[in-house]
Amino acid sequence: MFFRLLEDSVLRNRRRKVLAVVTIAIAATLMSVLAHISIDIGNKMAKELNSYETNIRILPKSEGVSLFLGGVDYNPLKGRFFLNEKDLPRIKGIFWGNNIAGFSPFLTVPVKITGYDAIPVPLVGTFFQRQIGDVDGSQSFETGIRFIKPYWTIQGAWPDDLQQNNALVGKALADALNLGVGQSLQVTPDKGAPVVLQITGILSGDDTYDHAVMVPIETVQNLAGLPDGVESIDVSAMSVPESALSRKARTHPDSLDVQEYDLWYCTSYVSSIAHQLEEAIPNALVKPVWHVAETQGAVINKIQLLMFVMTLVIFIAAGLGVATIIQTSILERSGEIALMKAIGAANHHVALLFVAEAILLGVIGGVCGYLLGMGFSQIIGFDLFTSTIAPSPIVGPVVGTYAVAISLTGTVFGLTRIRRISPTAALHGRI
Amino acid sequence: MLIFVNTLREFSAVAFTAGIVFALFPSQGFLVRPCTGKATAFLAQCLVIVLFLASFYKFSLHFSYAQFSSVSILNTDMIINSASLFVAAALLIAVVPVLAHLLTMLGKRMIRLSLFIVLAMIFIRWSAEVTLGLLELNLWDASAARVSFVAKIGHLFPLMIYIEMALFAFLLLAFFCKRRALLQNESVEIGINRRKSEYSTLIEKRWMKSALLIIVAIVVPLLYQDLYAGRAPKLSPAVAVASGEDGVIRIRMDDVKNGELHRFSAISKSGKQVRFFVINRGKSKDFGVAFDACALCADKGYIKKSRHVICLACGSLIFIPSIGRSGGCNPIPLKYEVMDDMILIKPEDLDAGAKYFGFF
Repeated sequence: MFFRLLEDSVLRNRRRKVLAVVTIAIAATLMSVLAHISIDIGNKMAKELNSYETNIRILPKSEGVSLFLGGVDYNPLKGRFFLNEKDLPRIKGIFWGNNIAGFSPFLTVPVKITGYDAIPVPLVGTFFQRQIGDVDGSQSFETGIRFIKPYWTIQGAWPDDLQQNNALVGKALADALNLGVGQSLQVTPDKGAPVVLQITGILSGDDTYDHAVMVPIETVQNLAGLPDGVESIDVSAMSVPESALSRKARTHPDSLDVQEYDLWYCTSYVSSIAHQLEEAIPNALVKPVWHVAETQGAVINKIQLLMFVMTLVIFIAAGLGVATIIQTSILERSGEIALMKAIGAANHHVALLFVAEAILLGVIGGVCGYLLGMGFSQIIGFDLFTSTIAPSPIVGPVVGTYAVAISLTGTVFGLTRIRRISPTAALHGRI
Repeated sequence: MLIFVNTLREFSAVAFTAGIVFALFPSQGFLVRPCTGKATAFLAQCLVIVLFLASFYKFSLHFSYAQFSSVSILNTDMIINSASLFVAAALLIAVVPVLAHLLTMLGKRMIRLSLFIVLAMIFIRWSAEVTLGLLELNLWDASAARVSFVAKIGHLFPLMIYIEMALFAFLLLAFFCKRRALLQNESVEIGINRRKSEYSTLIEKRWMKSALLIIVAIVVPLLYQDLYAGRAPKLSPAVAVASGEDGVIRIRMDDVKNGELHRFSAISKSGKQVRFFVINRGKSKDFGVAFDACALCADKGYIKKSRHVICLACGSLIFIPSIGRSGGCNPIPLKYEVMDDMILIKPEDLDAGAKYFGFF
């Protein structure tokens, strides 16, 4: 019986119902857009921080001096200090040395390619694959960029670290200059003699090196006149996911007490591995590389409060809209309500009918808003972060709850009116 | 899930007390005014509020936002964890009227019985908490009996909610068995009384159904957490290997080359059971052989979980290619030789590791 009443109630007065659904759907759309973007980035960030393999970057301490004016880096020490290649074995000497899966040093100089003088191209020196001894020289360890970038795909062959003229060319650069495997290429630094390189492979799968030429690090060190000079080191480490303790260590390192410090130091958190690397390598600045956290996460973090306030304001606005619609509806149907009460329905029975209707309207509005929001969030995501937003399943329940909450809040204000309807008065038309 | 279960555990006693108090003083309503209402009803409600505040304080001690998510930006974990907190609160709030109704229908004796059981548990639990507090503040001297009391009650506390839910289920069952007598709808009169009795039967059925639903919704996640999800990982059984006549242990490479962690145990010369494991570190037969013990955390052992080897004592991840090297949290290496597709472990190398086992 209740469902027949509900069906009848929903289908009646359709224009007003459509209006209510549209109000809820608009609010839900906005919620859906915000939730899609925020939750997607939050999830990506959580995945990054909870991953077992993290990348850590080691830089000279002078790079930590930040002097940005109008977005331009004016650090006076930039590019003047270098790490020492001789310190590399120390990376494996830390307490968590066994958790270091691999590392690779970098040194970059801008060069011009003979025949294409117009654009300077970065010539990146690195380790491709080579044996490195431990600090005490007892055990050797195989490392290089092959081990820390397993997702790279090489067309042709990896360069041999012992052949100083072997080179790997980024796909975009190779396409632009029509270079292929086996060809040779002459590069000239700002100061110094030109060098002829032999292309052994074309690299794809990494945007950072798409326009670069990669060679064994000695080649660049010779060209730049920096024997043993290393600009940065990328380290791939096995770590445990971040926890409350490591978050505390990251944000307020001084607030750790002795016990917490010991536990943190003796657990392979990224932050503790980074801390130990900083202790081991002279003049080094070590930080974990968290791409999402540092780019998209930073943006969302700043506007999260704004988003929260916005959803709240829209909640109130839409709730008021629904409240007006429902109140009019109750007023209009006072005769019917009075009849129901006259034949024995309690106030809460009548209220339940309206509440059920509100839930139904909320769900319909929520579903419409969810779908619309998914579309809009793709556009915004692409515009803001140039990446698509993966639909997270949790957004559905969130938007649904939000829409039903709007609808219910709007209805609850009208419900007091039901109690005030007196059957005798209403049925005599005196209301 | 953990947040859900912890919230239920901490606040279940409050919900039960509140339900019983409402059943005891049915006409007093919520928040009795001290001057006009019954003094006992007022005191009882005060007890509920004090209990709630105490539980809230205890809960807040272990509460931190980091439990919800490792990231401060809205994400799936954060939403699920906060939702579980609200669902747990809603379930406990729903317990109050359902329990109160059941008890009202069952009568004074059952109310007194439930009150006794619940208050006894609360008294025992909080006296243990107070004892602990006094011991921590050095106001009481620590004696073996006091410490053991606190420890025992702390150990039994997770069972409290099961006892309460058993009580709830018992009341429901009692109500179900006595429903005919309680509802008195045997009268087959025609007319208004008959319709009224049919209506009340319908309503009582709904109360019973919601009680059943609440019990299931609370007990099933609790059992899931306690019996399955919350259990500490255990070591896989070690295969006992006997040494040959020359005392050398031989393990066939083909048996252990599949990349899993193969745990073995052998008896050392000193009579100790020594565990070690063999794992294939690479694609070819490149074996890491190590004692199932760590220089720092003793013989808790290591397990392989999906792609990772984890130390059970501290949860540290071990880089599989580094097994067989010492240092960090790595297992202590065990020397071995390879001969004809066999891994050979000499007795003296095994005996050298005996000192790492059997402390506890």
